[in-house]
Amino acid sequence: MKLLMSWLNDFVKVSDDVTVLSKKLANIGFEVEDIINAGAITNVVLGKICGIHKHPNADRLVVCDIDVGDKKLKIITGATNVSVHDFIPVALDKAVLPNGKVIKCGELRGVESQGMLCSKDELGLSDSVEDGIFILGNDKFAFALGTPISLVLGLDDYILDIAVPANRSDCQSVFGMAREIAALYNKTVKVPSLDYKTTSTTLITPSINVDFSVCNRYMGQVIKVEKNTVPRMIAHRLKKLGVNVYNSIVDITNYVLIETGQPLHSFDLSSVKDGISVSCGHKEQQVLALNDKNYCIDDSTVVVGTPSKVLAIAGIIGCKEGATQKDTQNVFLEAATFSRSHIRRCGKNLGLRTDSSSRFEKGVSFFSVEFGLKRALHLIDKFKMGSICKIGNVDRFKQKPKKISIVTSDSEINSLIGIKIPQKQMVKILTSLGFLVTVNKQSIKVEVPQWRVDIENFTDLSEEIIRFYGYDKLDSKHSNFVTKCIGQQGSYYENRVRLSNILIAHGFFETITYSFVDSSCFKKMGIKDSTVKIKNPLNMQQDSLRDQLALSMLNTIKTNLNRKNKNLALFEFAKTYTKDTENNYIERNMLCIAATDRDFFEIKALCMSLLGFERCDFSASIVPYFNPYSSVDIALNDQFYGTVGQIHPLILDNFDIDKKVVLAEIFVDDILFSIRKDIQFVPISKYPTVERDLSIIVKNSIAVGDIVHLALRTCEFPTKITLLDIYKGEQVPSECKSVSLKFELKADKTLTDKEIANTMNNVLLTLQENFDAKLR
Amino acid sequence: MQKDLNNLVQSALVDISVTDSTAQLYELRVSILGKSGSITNLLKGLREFSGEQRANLGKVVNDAKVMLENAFDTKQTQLKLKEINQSLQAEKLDLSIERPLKQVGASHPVTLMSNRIVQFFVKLGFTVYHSPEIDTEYYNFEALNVVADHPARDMQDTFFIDDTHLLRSHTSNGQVRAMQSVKPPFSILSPGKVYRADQPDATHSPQFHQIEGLVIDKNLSMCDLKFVLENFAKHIFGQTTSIRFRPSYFPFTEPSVEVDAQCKCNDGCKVCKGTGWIEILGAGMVNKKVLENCGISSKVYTGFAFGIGVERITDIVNGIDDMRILFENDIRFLSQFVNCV
Repeated sequence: MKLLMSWLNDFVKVSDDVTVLSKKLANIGFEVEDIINAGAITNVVLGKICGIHKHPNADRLVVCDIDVGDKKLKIITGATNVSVHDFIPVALDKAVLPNGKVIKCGELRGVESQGMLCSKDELGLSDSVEDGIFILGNDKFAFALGTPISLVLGLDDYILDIAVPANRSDCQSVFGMAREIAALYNKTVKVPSLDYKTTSTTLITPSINVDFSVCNRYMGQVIKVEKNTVPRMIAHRLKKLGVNVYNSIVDITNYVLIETGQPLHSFDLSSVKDGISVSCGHKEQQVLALNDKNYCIDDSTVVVGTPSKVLAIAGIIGCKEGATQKDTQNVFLEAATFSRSHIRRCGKNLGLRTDSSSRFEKGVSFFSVEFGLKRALHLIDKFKMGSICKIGNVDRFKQKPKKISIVTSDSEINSLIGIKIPQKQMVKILTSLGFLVTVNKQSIKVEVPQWRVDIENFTDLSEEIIRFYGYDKLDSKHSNFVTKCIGQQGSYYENRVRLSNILIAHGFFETITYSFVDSSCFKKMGIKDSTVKIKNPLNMQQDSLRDQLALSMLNTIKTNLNRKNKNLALFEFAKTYTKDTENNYIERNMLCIAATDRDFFEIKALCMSLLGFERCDFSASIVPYFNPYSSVDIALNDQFYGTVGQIHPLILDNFDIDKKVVLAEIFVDDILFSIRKDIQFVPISKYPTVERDLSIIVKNSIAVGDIVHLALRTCEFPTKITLLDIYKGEQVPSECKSVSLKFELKADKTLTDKEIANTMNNVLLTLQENFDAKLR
Repeated sequence: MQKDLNNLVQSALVDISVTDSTAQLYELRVSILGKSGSITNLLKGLREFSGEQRANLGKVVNDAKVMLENAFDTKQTQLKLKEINQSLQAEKLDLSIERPLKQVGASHPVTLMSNRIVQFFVKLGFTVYHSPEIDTEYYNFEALNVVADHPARDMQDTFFIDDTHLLRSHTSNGQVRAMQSVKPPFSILSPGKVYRADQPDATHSPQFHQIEGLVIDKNLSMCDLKFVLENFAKHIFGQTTSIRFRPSYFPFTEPSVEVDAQCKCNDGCKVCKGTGWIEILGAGMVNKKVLENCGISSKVYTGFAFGIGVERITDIVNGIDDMRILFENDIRFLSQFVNCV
């Protein structure tokens, strides 16, 4: 909401500087986002003409000697209304005029002009270009020569750009803000005049047909236009706010919208002689709107029109057809309030938001309709822009809203706020805001003013009171609720920190990426797109909710490699989103780990450590973006936990990644939400561990894991087996490999040499039988 | 013999004093005190004497032997010390060298801040309550008094999944679920990712993290809210920080406030835009309608709620001036948070 200070001044006088006012407004809930200097004149000063000479090369121009106090200038003008001793506004070199024009020194027909003499129009004070130079006087002047002209003429003005809370539709106007500001300064707001004379005419009032389910109130007035232009003051204000001036009636609708917040629309009376209907259900068609664009309306669009024509998309924009022209003789001025939901939906469908529709979306009250219309009629009458037809008014509505009154008490309000605000103070604040307050001992009865549609109960009143009483007066007392409950962080946070710490210790950095991904990238990943879609994505690169984290991770790796970052080790905890067979959305927590300079076995071991399983089942993975020969699925008791492996080189090519990437995706809900298991101490063995190494030669196709598992089962004592080395080369046949294992045998006694030899022999025999292993 | 002994001792002492290595000293010792050393030979020569003379001479030779042994030992200690010093000097380290540790990783700064915030509120008695990111309009809007055509639905442009489901635009959906399932009094914390259809810029992101707090009890007032949030601000921004409330509007709270924390700068900075205050969160007393919607009697109970944007707090605390860097995951950024909690 843009508030012009000089306009505000019509209703309440503020002596504070705009920055002070802005701070005070923030305290009552209106944040001033910007303060714009609407004077917008720089380097224009008061000057005096000391002499006028003929221009040597041009008959129609004269060269003036100008005194601007600290210096004398020569300025050329073509105006004929200047004479020696005149005080005039002088635009100096690099002056900026209200229309944004910058004045520079320059030659005019071979003579240098060191500035420009200004007309009223050039200072934004008149619409007419024929005024000539603005003569301020020709005798004595109260201001010294060289004084900025904005100071001389009182042209300083500011626009406050105010963020109005969504529930305060009543403050989307100059007068609405004036009410709040008057209460803030303890002043009485001056209510705009609404009176007007009517005249008898022969003009016919159109018949009105309103669908009350989409329009709560519809008012209108027939007006005979008498004058085509608005007074300079009105045009001037509109211009300052960036509103184009068109003709008297249209300008007044714009003016009243800004002043009262009530959108108005004017129709050429001749185009509505067949009657006006406000309704939905029109057939699909294109209409040409006032902004020269075509819009497609359908049966859900609320339309103001005649039986044969669409004249306006209700509350949003008028159509070219039936619109008031510059020379329209008779108009029908409409003031209405339309259903918020319809305006919102129509505006969204059409992709159009106007000053008018944004007001309707926030809510225009029943009473605002009459207020706005009457204000417009007052101005039209006052400035003799038109005759208000005596019998030419309509007012259609189904039901007047009931007056709301709230019965509460100071103790109820104080218990919510938490401090003791005196009842007297409460009454004073509410009264200043237009509430009618009746005090009956403890209870307070409050009648809500008709424009405050946001007030429903005592909590709303509490807010009104505390925002004016001052939030700085709240205590920060120690509250007794704090000790009532014992806080629980829950296993999710504990486990997530625990898992993160393991990863961090191994040099991994946590990443956070968007949950949305680009569905066109699934092809790059070699996977089918079965993701949950976003209906209204910001862009097509973010149209799907991810069902895996590898895509985002590869993108992160790519970004880092592009930036010459090396030795990447990353992890991300995030949700995956899928739909089950019954169309329920499923969110599962996943952990993705990836690294560029680590080997597969390291990441596999890391996964096992994170999962915390003593053993689990590995099987070749069929996830398409992994290398099928170096990736495994991890499962335990038939439950799938995830996959670890090298990313397929072709997929890496698709991402333009020139490093090997080992990546793991693990579903971690079980782990994150698992309850802490306390460690049960196992006594440390008193007997020494015996170590033996065993090297065997087996076929290349034999898996080391199978050898280790079989060996473990064969050992009669608890044993730990670690792979020392796999060797291929001299002394080993090419189709074979040499596998060296370290055995650590433990028992609850000291093992004899014989027992150890027996065990190792058994192991060797079993391996020979099953894998055709040979001792090396 | 006495003369021979004196000569021998004299020359031995000279020899010891000029020896400059333990190896030489050892050789010298063997040549004098060893099995066939000169002193040992002298002792052997005593056999030629007898009686008292033999005893006297024996004592003299023995005294000389002990004296020489002491001389050797002293010299040995000196030389060893010297040699150790020499070898230490030879192995002298270039103390200026700095060799980095094996690289450890780090949590993301947003995770660190989330944990810090959660831990603070858990200490105050809040319990973490998880809720889904894909939720229905009912939990995200309707139950929270954001009715179908409420302009507040525009305040937070929402991503929709289908006719009824959306990506939650705030963690307040957790409020509703908690109120419907937990019996008051309670204090819950609803953390997680939230989504809004905002184009990313320095202060906006279509995805960010929020931590919502909700307390329901009898006789709660705005002063209780101020107590909790003031302590929160002190925990995050330092013990001298104070906060202020500014009136605001949220459909789910009434009254509603924006909460500002005092900026640490003295004379206006970029973060506080020269105002001395930084907006940190929104809060308010739970709207009566929300309580009733969730089956809690608004006549018996009151509540307060607040919503903290984790990225916003992270940016303020870590001096980050563009939120987008948080989601780029450049390791030169991430590695700045090594060793942080």
